[in-house]
Amino acid sequence: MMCLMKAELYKFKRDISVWIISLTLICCAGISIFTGVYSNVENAVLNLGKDYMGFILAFAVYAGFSCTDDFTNRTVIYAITYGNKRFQILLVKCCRYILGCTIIIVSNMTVFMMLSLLALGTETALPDLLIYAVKSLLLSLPLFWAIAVIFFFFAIITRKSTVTMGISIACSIIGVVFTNKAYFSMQQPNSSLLRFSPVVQLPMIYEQTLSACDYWGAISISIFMAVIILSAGTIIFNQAEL
Amino acid sequence: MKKYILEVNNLCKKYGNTLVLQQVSLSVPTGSIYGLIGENGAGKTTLFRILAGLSRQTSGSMVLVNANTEAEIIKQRRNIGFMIEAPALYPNLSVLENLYISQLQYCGKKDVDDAKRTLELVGLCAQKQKRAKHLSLGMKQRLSLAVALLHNPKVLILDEPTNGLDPMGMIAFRQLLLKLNADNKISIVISSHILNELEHIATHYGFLHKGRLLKEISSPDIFKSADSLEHYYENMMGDYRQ
Repeated sequence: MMCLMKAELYKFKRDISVWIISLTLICCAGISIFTGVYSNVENAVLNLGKDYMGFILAFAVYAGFSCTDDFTNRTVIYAITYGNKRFQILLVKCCRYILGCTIIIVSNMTVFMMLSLLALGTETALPDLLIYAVKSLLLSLPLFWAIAVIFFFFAIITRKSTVTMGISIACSIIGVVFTNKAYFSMQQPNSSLLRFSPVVQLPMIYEQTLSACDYWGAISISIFMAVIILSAGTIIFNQAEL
Repeated sequence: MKKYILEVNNLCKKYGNTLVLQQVSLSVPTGSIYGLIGENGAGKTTLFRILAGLSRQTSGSMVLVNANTEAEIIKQRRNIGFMIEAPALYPNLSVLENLYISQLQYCGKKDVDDAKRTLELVGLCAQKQKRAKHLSLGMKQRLSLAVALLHNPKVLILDEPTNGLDPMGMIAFRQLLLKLNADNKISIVISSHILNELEHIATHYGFLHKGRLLKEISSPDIFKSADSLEHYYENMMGDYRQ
């Protein structure tokens, strides 16, 4: 398993797709900084966190690039014939994908904050701003990972790059738009089960309106769902003709 | 030393209602070069895919390098080098990097000298920095063979390895297989449509037709009843059709 992990990291270092996706996101975000959409850096960071759709779409695209390469190249044969169980191959691929997603979020947030700091300036003390940004980022990461696992599942069951991207993008648009619409159209959204959804919790982190109880509830449900999804993925992958 | 390095007993494979392999039983003697012959769709690749663990048999069993339980077979596949269907490579990585990934997957560390030695063996030293996608089909086949040989396997399973090779490449490939068999004591199972090629190297043959193994025979026995492998195959298939 460690050997597989080392090989996957070696591939990851040579994979430029994660950096191309990050750069594209940064360019898109940079347009809003330099066209005067935001008044200051606090406002810019808040909006980037609240408007997380870009990240989700980036994960969907990245799933197509990073999780299916071994199946389209058929290089998965080496991992299998070197005595690895299919579950181990799946786990290592998942780790690589989550690492890539984390880099997309962290690099984008960091560069975006630096650019907006230079271009717009800050109204609060810099250490306070940094604490707010880092805290929000750390709190949001597990929720982003939970969403990413769904795209990983699509990649494993389809094992085709374009199909994975297509399904993941469609599902992310449907999932984010409809969940938010349903949540905000409720008379008492705070008592609905939808409040435990990562897509509802994410804006709350950046708006600092987060309830600790709801957040931990969302994390627990996300972990539970991730385990179910990965188990289903493993069962399907074990039976698959590669 | 065991008499047979690879044994397959009553192997069946069904895709939906189509029976692709029917009660196939074959034995590959240790130290032999076993030529598997059959027309397109006879089930050769399916058989190799099952041996590699890419596909699962519907019923039947196999013994790979003395291992007969599933857990042991998974481990023993480390002693087998596979080259199945089209070359399985990372197109965006260089020739050397393709080998490094295999080394990392196999034992967790890169061995530059070993990689270069293997490239020398297959005649790809001059292309070591070239990206795999820029290689010709013949060179890709050689690189695939290099990956299969990298971990010094006891058995090589090669599915139509001479596809895309030029005449000189075919001769060099044939000599390489004979050398590996004689010097490194590697048993080889090879499928090919080019009977003249197989005739020069194989010590044993198996004939597959529509998913059934028609016959297993040694090379000297063939030449007792025919002057060439081609004639023997023609006569045998003529008898079978009648």
